[in-house]
Amino acid sequence: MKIADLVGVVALLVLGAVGGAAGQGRAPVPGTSALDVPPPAAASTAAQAILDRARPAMIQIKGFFGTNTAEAFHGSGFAVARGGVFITNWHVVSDAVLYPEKYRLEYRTPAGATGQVTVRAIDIRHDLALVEAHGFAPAALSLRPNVALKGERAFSVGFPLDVGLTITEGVSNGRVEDSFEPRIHYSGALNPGMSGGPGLDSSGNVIGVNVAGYFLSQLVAFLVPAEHAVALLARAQQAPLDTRRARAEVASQLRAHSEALLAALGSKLPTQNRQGYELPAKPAAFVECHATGDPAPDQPVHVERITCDAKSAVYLGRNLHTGGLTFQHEVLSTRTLDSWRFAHRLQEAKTSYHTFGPPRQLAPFACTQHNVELNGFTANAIVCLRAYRKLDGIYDLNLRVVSKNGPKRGFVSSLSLTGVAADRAVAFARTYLDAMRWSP
Amino acid sequence: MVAVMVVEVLDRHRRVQARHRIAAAGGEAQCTVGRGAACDVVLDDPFVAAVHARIAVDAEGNVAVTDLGSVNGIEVGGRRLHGVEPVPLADGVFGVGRTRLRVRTAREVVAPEEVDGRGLSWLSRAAEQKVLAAAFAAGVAVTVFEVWTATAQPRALSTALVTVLLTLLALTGLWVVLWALASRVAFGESRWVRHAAIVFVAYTAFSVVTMALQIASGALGLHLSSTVVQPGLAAVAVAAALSSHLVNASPMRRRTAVAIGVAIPAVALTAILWIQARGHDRSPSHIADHDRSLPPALLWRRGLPFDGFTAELAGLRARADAKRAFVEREDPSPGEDDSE
Repeated sequence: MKIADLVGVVALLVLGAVGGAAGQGRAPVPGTSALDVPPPAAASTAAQAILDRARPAMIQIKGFFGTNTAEAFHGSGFAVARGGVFITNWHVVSDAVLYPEKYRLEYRTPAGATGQVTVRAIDIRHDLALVEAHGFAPAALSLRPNVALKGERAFSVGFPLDVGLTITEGVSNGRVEDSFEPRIHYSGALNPGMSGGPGLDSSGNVIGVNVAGYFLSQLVAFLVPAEHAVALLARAQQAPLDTRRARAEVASQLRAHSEALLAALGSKLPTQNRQGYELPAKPAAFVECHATGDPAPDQPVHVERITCDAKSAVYLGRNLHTGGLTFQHEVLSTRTLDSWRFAHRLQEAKTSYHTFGPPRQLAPFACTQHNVELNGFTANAIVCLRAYRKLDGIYDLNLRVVSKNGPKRGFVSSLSLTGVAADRAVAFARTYLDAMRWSP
Repeated sequence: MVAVMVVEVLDRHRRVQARHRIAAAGGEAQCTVGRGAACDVVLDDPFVAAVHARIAVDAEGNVAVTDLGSVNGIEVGGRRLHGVEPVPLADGVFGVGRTRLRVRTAREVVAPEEVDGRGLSWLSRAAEQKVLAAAFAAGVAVTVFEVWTATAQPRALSTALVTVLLTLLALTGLWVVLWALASRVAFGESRWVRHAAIVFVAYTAFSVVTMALQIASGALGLHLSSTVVQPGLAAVAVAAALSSHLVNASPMRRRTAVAIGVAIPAVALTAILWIQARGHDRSPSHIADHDRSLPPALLWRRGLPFDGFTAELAGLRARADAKRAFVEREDPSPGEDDSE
């Protein structure tokens, strides 16, 4: 969940939950008296020092719709280079980049100074943006490109929920294992509005950029490793963002992201045999797969569902996440049902799949449907492609396959690939279909 | 020889309210018209005199009317006449007071008898009952098969069957009762067997043809568009049923009845398909999946070879781009971003 602009019901709920937890924490602990109050912990003095160091480099970035003086959204940012160059999240500034005629950006320093903000470079894949704050050029925080170790003390600074500059204290859990996007797992509080703020080690070096948190979990939050901020800084110096061609830049970064994702999956997918069908299985460590079934024993149709998600989707803006890859199989088998009724179950399983998409961002699907001879069995395949309305050369692919060979066994499989070049998507659809095999 | 004339009393819509037949021996006949009981044709009209006029038919069948000194006179061909001279009537129609009268004679040429177009002369009552029985049995059989196909659990089957069949019977029963009432109003007979036969034949034919098309489409891998075929077949069935019902339950001409019966479902079908197609042409979440799962034994035709299929995918990009161009042109700024 993104934490930039969720000020409202969600943010209020989060505040409520935090307040409740704090209330319980203040309950008296048996066996301690007023005389035993411990001195301030060493960590808290560290937090004071870290905050003192970070404060001058911090800005709050606010977005305004049109000429309104009331803000539309806000996030945080910190200085990374001389000349007023700040790092924040792409999702903090995306509206202003994609709809420059509708939104404008301003900064506000902890001391209360304000001014204009311009976006200098973006990195959609890592959710980073480099911005320039006009008229405010503090000393930069130092970036630490190597990832903090598991268990290292860490801090996060930002402007959560518009309550002012805040520091939270936690622990780095190092690089997230099995994730396509590089992330540092920070076990500490991150709240809406802290997006784009720095994650710091105990010496005050930046180890990452606040990016996201799971609000229904406890203190599971993520930082973008500082190495990507370093890379973005280098890129901004070589080729700064041309704001008039921002959408072309977004499209090209999205293509590169999907290309990297598909390259990581390889040209041959591993398979797993379910009821005689070899079906694509977990293709890489970062792809998360779940398999479930109906445990009730007396069902006439036995169903197993295998769902895989590369968790590679990136935030593009305005209700749109893209660059993702998901696929799922529903494998059905029966001992008691005849072929007519089993075929009907298979048909029902197929029609339960739905696709979604905002009509402002996406064009309708164009589809090709045929009965096709796959490896050792006949199946029906429908392959659909839809273009992005505002991004040239970016497509979503949707593939659905249903087996046609077994009177008592069958599967429905679907693949969804978003934010990808058309030829690359079609090539992967081919790879996916080619991996299927009938081997009872 | 007997001279005969019939005097018809017409209302303002020129419908006959009363008819008086006057016969006289010899070549001529005559009668009087008025409010008085002594007249041959007695009228209730307050603007008519006690003895108002005399109608006479001569041997050649010519009709003449004479005003017998009334205050309001007689009206012939749009003119009001007074006096005692006999006025010849060309079309036999004249007015007294506010009443119109028509005089008909034996010489009148009568139009030939019309053919009775109502009802189905070739379908006897017994045959009608047989058709109803056959259509009913076939309809129930098809419905039972569909319910059976859709129900996996044996214990759910009986409930589903009873529910579906009862609903079907209740709906068709109501439908037949409505048409039988209409028939009774129009022709004085309910014709409920015929109406029941119509609705069951239409329902059974629709179900059987739909199922046959689905099986054929699945067996041959045709992928007929279910969004067009199904409503199309339904419209044909409704048109046939509605036309037959109208022919049997309304006094309108057969051609008119069929035209109305066909026009209503045709307009509804066109509207539905148009709205549907309009939505699909603009929706980024619609996927038209025309495949239907059938028992594999029914699959007659082999599928495309894998390379042939993937070669066809090369054209997808151009078609997706065309759809993008279409929505950019036709629907540049959709109102809602969060669809579904």
